[in-house]
Amino acid sequence: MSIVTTFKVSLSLPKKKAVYQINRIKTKDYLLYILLMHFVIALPNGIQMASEFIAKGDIDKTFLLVFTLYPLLVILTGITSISVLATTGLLIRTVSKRKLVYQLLWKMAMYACTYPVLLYTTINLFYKTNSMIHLILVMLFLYIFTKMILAYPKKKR
Amino acid sequence: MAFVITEACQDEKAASCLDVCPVDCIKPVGNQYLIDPRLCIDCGACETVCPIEAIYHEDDLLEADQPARIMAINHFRA
Repeated sequence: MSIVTTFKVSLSLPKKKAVYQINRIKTKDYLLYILLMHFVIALPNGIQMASEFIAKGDIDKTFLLVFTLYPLLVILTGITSISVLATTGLLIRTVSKRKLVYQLLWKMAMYACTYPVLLYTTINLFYKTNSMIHLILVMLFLYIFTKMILAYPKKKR
Repeated sequence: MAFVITEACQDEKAASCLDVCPVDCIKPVGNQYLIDPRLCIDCGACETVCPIEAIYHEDDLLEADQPARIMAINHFRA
C-alpha cells in the first residue's frame, strides 16, 4: 500500500472497511505517514519562522532552527501527543468492552489524527487558531477514534 | 474470507498474533497456530505483527499455502 493509498484510507475513517485496512499497512508506509503528518502540522509555523529569519537575514539561524531543531521538536511533541491520545483509547476500550492492545490503539490514534491535523494546518495557514478551535479538533479526534474502536466487535465472556 | 496462518508458523509460534487478535480466533493446534475462519473478522491486525510473515489474507495465498487454509477449515469444522 503506497503513501497515497494510506492517505486515502485514512480519509475514509471511521468506516469499518478503512479501520480494518489500516491494520494491513506496511510499517514502512506507516512510518512515512507519521513523518508526513508531522510535516503537515509543522508547515504553518515553519513557514512563518523561516520568513521571519530570512527577513532578518539570519540564514544560519534559519537552517538550524527551521530545518533541524523545529522538526525534531515537532516529532517529539507529536509522538508524545499520539501516545497520550492512544491512552484515552484504553479507557474507551474498557468502557466499550473491546479487546484492543495499546499497539493497535496507537496506530489507530495516529490515523484518527488525519482530519484534525489537516484542519489545524488549513486554519493555521490562513487564520490564527485559538483554544476553542483546539477543543473542537480534539472532539473531532475523539469522535473518529471512538467510532474506530467501536468498529471492532465486543469481546466474548 | 479470512486470514490464514501458513506453514512458516510451524515450530516458530511467536504468538504475537494472539495478543492483537480482537476476537481471539487464533488457537494453538499441534506445532503451530491456526485462525478459526468462522470467527475471523478480517481485520488484519495479526498480519503486520507476525515477525516471520506467516499470515496472509486468503486472497493473497500462494498455491503452495492452500493446504494451510484447508487445514484450518477442516480443523474448526470438526
